Amino acid sequence: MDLRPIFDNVSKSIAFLDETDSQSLADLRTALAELRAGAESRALSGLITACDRGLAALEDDDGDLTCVLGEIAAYGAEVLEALELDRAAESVPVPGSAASPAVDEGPEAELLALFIGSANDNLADLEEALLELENTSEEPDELLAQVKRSLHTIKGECGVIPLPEAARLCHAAEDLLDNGAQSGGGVPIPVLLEVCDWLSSYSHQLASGDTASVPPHAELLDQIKAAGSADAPSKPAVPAPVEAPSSAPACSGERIAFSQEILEDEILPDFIGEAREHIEASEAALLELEQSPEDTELINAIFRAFHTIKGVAGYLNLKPMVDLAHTAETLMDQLRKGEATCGKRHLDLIFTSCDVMGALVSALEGGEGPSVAAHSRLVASLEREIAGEAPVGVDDVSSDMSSMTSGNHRRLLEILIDQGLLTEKVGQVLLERQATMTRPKHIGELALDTGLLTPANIEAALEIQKHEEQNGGPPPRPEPAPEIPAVEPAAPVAVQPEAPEVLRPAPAPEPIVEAIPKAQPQAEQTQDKPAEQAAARKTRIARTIKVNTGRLDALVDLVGELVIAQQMVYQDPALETLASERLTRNLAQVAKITRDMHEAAMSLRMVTLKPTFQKMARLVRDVSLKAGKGVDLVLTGEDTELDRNVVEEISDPMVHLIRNAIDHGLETPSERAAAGKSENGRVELRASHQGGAIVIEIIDDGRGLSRDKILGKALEKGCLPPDAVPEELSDSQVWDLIFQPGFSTAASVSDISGRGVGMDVVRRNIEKMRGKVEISSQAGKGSIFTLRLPLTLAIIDGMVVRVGDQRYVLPTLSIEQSFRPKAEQMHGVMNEDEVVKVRDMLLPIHRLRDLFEQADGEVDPVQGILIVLEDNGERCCFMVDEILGQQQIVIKSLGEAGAGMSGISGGAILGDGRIALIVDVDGLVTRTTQAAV
Amino acid sequence: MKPQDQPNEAQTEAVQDEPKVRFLTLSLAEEHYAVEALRVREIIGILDITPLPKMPPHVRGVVNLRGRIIPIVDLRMRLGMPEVEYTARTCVVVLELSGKGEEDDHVLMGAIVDLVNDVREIGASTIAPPSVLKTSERAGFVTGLAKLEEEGLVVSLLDIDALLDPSQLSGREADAIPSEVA
Repeated sequence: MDLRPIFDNVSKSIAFLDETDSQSLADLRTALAELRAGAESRALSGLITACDRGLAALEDDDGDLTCVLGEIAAYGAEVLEALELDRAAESVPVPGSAASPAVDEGPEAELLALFIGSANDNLADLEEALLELENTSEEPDELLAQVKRSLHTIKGECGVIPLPEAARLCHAAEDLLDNGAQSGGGVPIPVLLEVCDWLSSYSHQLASGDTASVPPHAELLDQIKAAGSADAPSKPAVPAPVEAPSSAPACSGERIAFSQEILEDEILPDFIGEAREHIEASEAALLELEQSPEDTELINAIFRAFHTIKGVAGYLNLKPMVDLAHTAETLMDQLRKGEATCGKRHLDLIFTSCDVMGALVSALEGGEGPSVAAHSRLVASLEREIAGEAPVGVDDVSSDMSSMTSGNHRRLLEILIDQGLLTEKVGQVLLERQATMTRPKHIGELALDTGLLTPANIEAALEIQKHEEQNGGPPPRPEPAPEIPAVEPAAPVAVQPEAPEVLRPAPAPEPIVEAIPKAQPQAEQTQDKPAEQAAARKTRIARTIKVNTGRLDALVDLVGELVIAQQMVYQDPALETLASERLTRNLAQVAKITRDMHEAAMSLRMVTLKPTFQKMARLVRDVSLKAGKGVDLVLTGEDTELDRNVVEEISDPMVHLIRNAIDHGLETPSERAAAGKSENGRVELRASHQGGAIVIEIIDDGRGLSRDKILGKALEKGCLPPDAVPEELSDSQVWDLIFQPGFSTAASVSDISGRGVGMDVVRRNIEKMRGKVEISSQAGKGSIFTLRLPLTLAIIDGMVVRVGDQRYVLPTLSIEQSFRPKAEQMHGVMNEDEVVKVRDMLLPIHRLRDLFEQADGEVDPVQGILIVLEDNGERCCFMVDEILGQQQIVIKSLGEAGAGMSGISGGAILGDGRIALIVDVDGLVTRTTQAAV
Repeated sequence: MKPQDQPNEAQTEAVQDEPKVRFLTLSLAEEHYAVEALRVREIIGILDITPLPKMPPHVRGVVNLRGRIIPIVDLRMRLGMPEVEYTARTCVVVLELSGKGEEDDHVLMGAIVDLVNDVREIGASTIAPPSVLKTSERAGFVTGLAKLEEEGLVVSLLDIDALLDPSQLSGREADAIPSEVA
């Protein structure tokens, strides 16, 4: 063993030692330990002692570390110098230690030295070639040849010495390469790298004079054999004799996780953000690709996304991500080079890759990663697809029967099922059986084994398959025209999953001439659209910059305060006495600039609904596949802008509502056919600005809400108030019942929906944002769920009112009207509560003065103003002294003081610097109307 | 109050070496109190107070502190002293409570006091435990009594978190110590 590099390491560690840095201390410790080991192997007792002293000094806090280390460095240098002067003979250094055995073997030693030198060179070449082979796909033949050459040379030289075990190993590796080349599989690089490592360590051992033993290689031989046989997994098991690099994921039997070191890496958060963006972009592109599989621009985009992820992941040493990205990228590469045509299998695989990649990113964030099994299965499937092999069985990761339709022709099983010769269930069983076999049989054989079919059946089915392949596909199912609404900025995304109609009559076994192209006029539009869209996409990509959201929020807050301060200056009564025109002009200028700045700052927080809608598009695809219903999804108004916080909060409710729409709202295809509706259900997501609020509608053309069913369930669950008369309830009151906790009319609970914990949470979340949920529905026609939300969470439109000396703010959304009552409208009830007649309604009056225990304020309603407030259908009147005006209010939290207060939801700072209390209308209305008997 | 013994040299040295904590001394009526200087965010003059409904009487309401709304407590009333009119010298000491409030900042509360004196360093050795206090209701808020040599004063060190515990603002009336009858 050559001590020089080890000792150099020690010297370096000593020179760079920072006693306060634990890492640097650890480095030195390691280096010293290495040196000691080296000294041990050469039986250099003096050096051993020196190293021991050094290690002891490191442990000991008190000692003078520098002094000891200095001594060691000096001594070691001397030792090595002596060694090097007699290097060839490996003679003993000056302080006297046992002679190394290699001295006695004169001529053999020379031969060995020659071999070692040459082997090291060859090994270096070999390793380089292997690494290149792994990373690029360019000139694999040349690299492969290099690998073989190196291996062959080493083998030959091993034979000369002789070093029989090493020779055997090289021979096995050569065989592996030759076999691999014949079967068309890839080069099993990891195994070969292992061989490389082994040879390298063996040669080191020989150089240190230990020719007696051979390092253990039995396991390695087994690996090589395993890699060479047909059912080898593409990734052989990795024995880790040395501690695995920290980048290898901990496969704790279940999920992929990353080491602490990686999780604390500085650039990780940026990488996570970027990776997520790339995954989202890929998913969006995939959805479009489903509609237009020929669009190379989309394929390129996906390729680039995975390529970029691979790059940075490689830099961070995130092996699972690199593997996945690499295989996915290779597959996309095939597609964009035209080596394969994009079929459903490809799309499914890439979709799944996006999912698993997303899970890996979650693992980086500290969450749960994908299971090791899922990851390797996916990679294996990708590789099989790349290699052009027929898929072995069904990936558990993407689902079952729906992935049966492959690129051009139906799979054998599907044909048999379509012909009614096999049932779905049997087909499923056969696929599973095939997947578990080490040497998978052809699915036809397995089918025969079941005894349900005759060989003739199989032959006929195979014929059909061949014909379909030649003719470009099975007969198409009739497809309804995708609806394209008249006015829309963005192109609709029509998602048509291929849930197979399993009970269709068998197609005629004659050759089908040509797959009928879509005759609808929409088809041409759709063809033009990709080109247009591509152009539009390019211009729409504005330049962006990433900003820390904390800073953004701080800036927006500061601007808010500036507005208030500016208003306070502007409204200062002292200004009126100054009567300076110039001052007035300048102040007006300041006011204008402040207003503009305010608008600009507010808009910084605004984001579009586009990413949310895209998430929904993906969701629709998945849910519709699972539910077995075709869905046409139409997205409108995805460019509508919302405050960032609102967008985050509505995501979950929207998911829930869409799932409901597809799961419960839409009927099954057969039901729809029976009702004369289009086979695919239609779900529309529409977003728009209406009157200072954001309106999001989820519209489906399904069966609508069933009044009877809901009433029935409500009665059953006791959701109805005891004195309610079902027949007298209005429709909207009935629909309202579904928001009761624990309510659900789904007969069976699927994992998608039906657990009854959804709608009340949805409404609560929306109302938490000061929004509203409205339902409108028509039996047999469909339903519309409307979400009404304020533009931003922090600002509301409010009416400022005065009660005595105190100011309050009432959210405008809740106000129906305000008026000064006349005496005739007032009525006393039981001498206590007063009611006022408003438009044929008798509404109770509540004085804010009393509600908030003020000493001052008007008592007589006729002298004050009544404001009619509405909350979920309930109405009442609040009485105030005066209405001061309407303005946009920035909501300020009252902090701890406000937490316990009922009736007040926050504070606001008015233009004159005074504080107004924001009334929690919903809470108050409910409380007062319930309290009123 | 037991008078302190005359310090001998050894004691003086020990006193000089020990860690000292800075306190802000203030006055309520004729009594002297102090709060930890590190907890004092700022000291401002009395502002317009917007009263809050249904609060204990010592919680006077909220004020606008440069765009941030913070609750204000009258410290005299909190400690059971009679209420007085606020003068030009009345100050509000804005204190940081433990725990996070909005925007990752501490929860802030303002305490109305009659007078603010200055910031003093008080060493641990000069602090006596509050067991000598006769008024047991206040004992819960006082962490110790410190002697200020130069002025010959004894200062009660206040426990801010106990004094301004936000949960007291839950609207319950009973928590304020009833006014002493003179």
